[in-house]
Order: sequence, then C-alpha cells, then structure tokens
Amino acid sequence: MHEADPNDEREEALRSVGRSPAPRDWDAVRRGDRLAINALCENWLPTVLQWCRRLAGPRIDADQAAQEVFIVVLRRVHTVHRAEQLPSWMFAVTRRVLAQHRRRAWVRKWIPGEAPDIADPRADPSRHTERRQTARQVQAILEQMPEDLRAVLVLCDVEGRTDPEAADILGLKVGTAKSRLRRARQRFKELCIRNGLAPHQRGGK
Amino acid sequence: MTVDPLLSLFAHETEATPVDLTRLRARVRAAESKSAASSVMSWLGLPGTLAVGGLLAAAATAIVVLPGMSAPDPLALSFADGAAAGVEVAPGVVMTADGAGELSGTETAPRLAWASGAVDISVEPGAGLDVQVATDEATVRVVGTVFRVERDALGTTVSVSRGKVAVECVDQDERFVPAEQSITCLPTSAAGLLGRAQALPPGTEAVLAAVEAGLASAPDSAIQTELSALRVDHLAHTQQFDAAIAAAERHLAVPEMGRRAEVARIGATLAYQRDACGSVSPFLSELPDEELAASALSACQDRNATGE
Repeated sequence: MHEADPNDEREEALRSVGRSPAPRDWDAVRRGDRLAINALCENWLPTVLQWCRRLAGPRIDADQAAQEVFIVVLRRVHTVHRAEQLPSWMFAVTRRVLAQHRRRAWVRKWIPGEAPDIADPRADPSRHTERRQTARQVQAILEQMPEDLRAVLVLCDVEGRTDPEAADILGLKVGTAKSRLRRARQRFKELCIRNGLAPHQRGGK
Repeated sequence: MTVDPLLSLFAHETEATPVDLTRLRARVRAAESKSAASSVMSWLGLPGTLAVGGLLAAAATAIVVLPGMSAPDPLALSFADGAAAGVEVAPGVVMTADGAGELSGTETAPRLAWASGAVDISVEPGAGLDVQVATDEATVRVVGTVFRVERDALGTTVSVSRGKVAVECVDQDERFVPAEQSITCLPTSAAGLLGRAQALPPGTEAVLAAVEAGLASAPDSAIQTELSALRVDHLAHTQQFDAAIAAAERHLAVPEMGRRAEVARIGATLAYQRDACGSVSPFLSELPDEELAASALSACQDRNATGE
C-alpha cells in the first residue's frame, strides 16, 4: 500500500496554486458566491504577490499593487466567462495594476524629495544582504527589459512554467511564446553583462 | 535549457512566505472593509453576528487572521494600523494597540511581531505566561508585568510601568529593565538607520552617528546615496564646511551615487565660499545645467588668470 508522502502532497498543493478552479467552484464564483470567491483569492494570493514582486520595478510597492489586484478580483472575477480564462485574466489584471503603479512612479520621480526606491517590507534587510542585493540588481535589470520579454522570462525562467502554460497566460501562440522567450533570455544576458553582474555573482549562495 | 542561476536566486528571494501572505490577506481585508463591511465578514469566514458581537467589536481595527479559510485561531491576530483598546488576546494577557503587528503563538506563550506604533501590554503575574514581543531591533521577554513597546523611525522603545522585562537589542546582550524605566534599541539595518537619521531633529550629533553607522552597513546603492547626501547636508548645515566639502567629494567620487546635482551644488557653494575658485571646478562639472556650469567655470578660470 502506497503511503502519502508529505513532500508529494506539498508538491501537489504547490501545483494547484494559481490553477483554474473546479467546475462546481467556478459556477459558485460566477454566481458571485462570496465564500467561493474568497477561496479562489486565497488560492491565488502567492501567485499574484510573486508576480507583483517579479514584474514590478524597484520603484513600485509590490505589496500595495498585489492588494489592489485583489480588490479588482473580489469585485470583477464573476465577470470572467470560463474558468480556463482565469490565469490569463488574473495576469492581465496584475499587469494593468502594475502599469498604473509604473505611471505613478514615473510622475513621482519628478517630484523633489520623493524616495527613489521602495523599502523592502520584509525582514531586516541586513540579513542575507548579498543575495538580497543581487536580487535587487536582477529586479533592476528586468525593469530595463521590454514588458513583453520581461513577462515571458518571469513566467518561464523564474516561475518554471512550461512554454504552453506561459503562452496561455499571455494569450499567445506557443511558437510566439517560445521565440519571445529566446529573445528574452538573450536580452537578459546582455543586460547582465552591461550592468556588471560579474560571473562570480551569477550563482549567489 | 538550464535556467540562469541569477533568475533562480531572484525566484527564491521573491518567494511569498506565509508571513507575506498573512500581511497581504490583512491588507486586502482592510482595504475591502472600507468599501463594504459585509465583505469583510465573509472574507473572515465568520457569521456576521459573531464577528460583530465578538472580537471585532472589542478591537475596532484588530482583524482575525485565519490559516487559509479554516476555523478561527484565537492567537492568530493581526493589528492593522489604528487603535484597538483592551483586547484580551489570551487569558491574562491584555493588549491596547495603536499601530500594526501580528500575534501568533499559543495561549500560554503569545508572540507578538510588532511593526510600527505603540502597544501597551498587561500580563497577569504568576500565571506562568511567557509573553514575547519582537521588533526588527529588539526582543522583549516578560513574566508578569505592565509595559509598552513603541516602534517608530527612531527605533524601538520599551517602557516598563510595573514589574520587570528582559530586552535584547539586536547584536547586544539581554538587559533587564525595571519599573519606571525605559530602553531604546536603535535600528541596525542601513534602511532603518536612514529612517532614524531623517527622523532625528536636524543638526544634532546623533544624525551624523546614524548616517555613519548606516553607511558602514549600506548594501544598497539607493540607501547609500540617501545616507551620503544626508551627511553632506548635515555637515553643511552644522557649519562643518571642510568636512562637508570632503563628504561631497567622496559622494561624487562614487559613480553609482545618485543625487549628484544636489550634492554638487552644496559642494560648489561651500568650496567657492572657502577658496573662491580654487577647488570649485570638480563640483561644477557635475551640475546638470552644462551651460551655467561652463560659464561659472570660465569665470573662475578668468579670475585665476587675472589673479583675482
């Protein structure tokens, strides 16, 4: 008799995060059932927060953006027609919210006295300093990339999604997503070199 | 295709932790509650009457944080920004909060992670309670007392009304604080020290101490820029002109430093006051208005040439 391995369960739980809900749950969401919508939000919390952190530049408060995404989700998710459309809808909402933040940040940087970067709200920044600093450099490099390349690189190479999954989320053909990913990897590499991310930093312990 | 190790590191560093999710959940609820109180009840997974009549009524802005959407845990409590008076968070432990923090732990060993603002805590003596409050700068342990923990940009201040608490500031030994006394643990991170330097009364010596300590530990060029520019500004305003000019030169010598024009203007003004045109040129070359800088430089060169 095969016993359930806690690691398998964890993997399965991780895989289920950010996926489309079961048909019955989706019907409840479409009816505007609050509990079903809350459960859906709970399932998407980590995915959306991570998207915000990974796609937002250093001048955007990712937590604030994620909060705004969920306000939209709570109010509008029942208008999504099919469960399969949910990941791409969720990603589109996140991109729109981040675009608004980016515009605000662009305006803010012309106002004298505004802080240039958003402080990291997580634990003491002096801990794990080197890794955190490298991550911020990577974030700054991603910010220099065109938005469409950044999105596919984050979905595939940061989050480990397959090409078809990324294509689905981005609303692209698989071939287009693949070629875009190739260009994104190339661009990222070039920017790393241009920004002086030396080979010894490219592993970060 | 092997994923770039930098992207793997980035993925790891940006992963959402349970604490991050708890904070986001609380933020979404707080934002949603402003527009629809009924939504909050639903999000909390509580029947409206229970929520209104129970804990939420006692603590206006205290929000119960549930593990997922399951049954409520009395010691999973999130204080959003705002005031919550006299909440008995566990038998014998009463908190009055005006700020933000998260409570976890068990009924006999409550753990409060305090982020900002003040919290007054009363612990019943002799009840075998092990209460701890942690901030970025300090850990406070207590057995039977009344005390307050206040966290702001200056650091974490622990004031004891009755009894005695043990306070461990980060990187320091534990110290006992008796009744009627208080202790302040200073920020240790570069960002925290920058916040302290900006919050202190301008011109005081403590500003420079916080700036220097922050610069010694600044991992981030943005924070380093702010600290270094603040040092120049502080030295100029406390009339330590030579030191201010030297600090401005050090600032501009690092290519990654921002706020160059501002620092260059201060440096140029002070250098001109001190040496006339003698040492002003390195600062002028940093000014964004090239025409103005070139004309000032040319005027200085003319003066030097004519020996004025």
